Amino acid sequence: MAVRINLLPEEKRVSGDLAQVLRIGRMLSVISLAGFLVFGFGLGAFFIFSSIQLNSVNKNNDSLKSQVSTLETSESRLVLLKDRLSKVKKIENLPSSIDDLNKFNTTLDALGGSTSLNELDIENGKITTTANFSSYQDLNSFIQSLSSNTAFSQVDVPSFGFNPSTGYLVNVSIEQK
Amino acid sequence: MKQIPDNVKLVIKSIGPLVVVLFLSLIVGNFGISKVRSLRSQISQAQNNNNILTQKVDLLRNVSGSLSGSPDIATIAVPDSNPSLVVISQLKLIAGENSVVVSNIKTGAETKDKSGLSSVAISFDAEGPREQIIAFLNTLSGSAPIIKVDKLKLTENSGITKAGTTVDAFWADLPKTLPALDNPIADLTSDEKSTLAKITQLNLPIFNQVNAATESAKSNPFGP
Repeated sequence: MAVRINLLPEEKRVSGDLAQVLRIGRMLSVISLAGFLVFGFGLGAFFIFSSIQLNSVNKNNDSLKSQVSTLETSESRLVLLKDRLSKVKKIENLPSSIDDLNKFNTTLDALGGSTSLNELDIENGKITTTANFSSYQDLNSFIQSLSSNTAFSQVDVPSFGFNPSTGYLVNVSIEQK
Repeated sequence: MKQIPDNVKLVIKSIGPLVVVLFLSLIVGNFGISKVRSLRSQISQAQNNNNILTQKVDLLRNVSGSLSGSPDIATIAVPDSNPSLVVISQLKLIAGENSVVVSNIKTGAETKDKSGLSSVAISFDAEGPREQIIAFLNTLSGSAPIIKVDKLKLTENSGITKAGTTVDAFWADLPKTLPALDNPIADLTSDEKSTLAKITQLNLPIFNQVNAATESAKSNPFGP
């Protein structure tokens, strides 16, 4: 029969509480060491995997960059086209007296044959005209045409004269919308 | 020297490794995790570049065929140098087509705005029937290089209209650099396509460049 003999001297004996603390301490040390090793190897493996992935993506990017370089002519033509189109757009947005003339043209068309357009000035969205109407009917047609033209925001008549031999001399100032 | 009690030695031997492991975990963990984070960030950036470059290659391959002469037409519409001579040439050509007489042609000083768009004023007198003058000015406005009619002064006498006109002709420097390789590039927007459709309808000049006369090889240009 086996007999348990404790050869440790009495004064060297560890008390029950301290023994438990030592046992827990050793257990935690082993567990933490195991955890550290797992964590360390895992982190290292993930780092190696990520490095390989980065190299692969960078290699692919270098290949794509060389393809973009070979397509430089197409890129430069596209960039040029977009640049020019932006400039065309800027110019398009600038005011144009020809647009004002075209809006006023319907009124000009309403002028009778005996009416003479002495002067027509178009600048900065403003139209100023002086016309000579030999008859009241021509003048009436002109005024009606002006009032029905929805392109104008304001029509002023700075001067209006009548001469029995030449007819009505009218000066009109028009603001566009 | 005072001896460390046995119990304390036993506790140090038991818990010591735990403390060391925790300390190493802290250092290695901080260093390792920051390195891995940096690497993941680089991968994310590289994948982002990859997407941009793939889209760029696909787009450039697709547009290389569809662009054809559009950039050239756009450069004629807004050239890179003062187009006064070309505009004057267009002026005379269109005037002739509309039976309008053009005279007293003058060009003004060049101006440049902040956006890089330069312009020059060209003034002239046009004479003819009113309808032909209006048709002439409309055709001129629909020609390349693009012009804008700035001022117009019409006077009529005995059925003949005289139009004192000032038009602005435009030009702008060409782009000097391409975007960086890994910068994205976009296809033409619908607005740009609409503008492109308009400028392809412009009446193009017969010639685009007026070259300075070269020196004659003869010592006496009037001789045989």
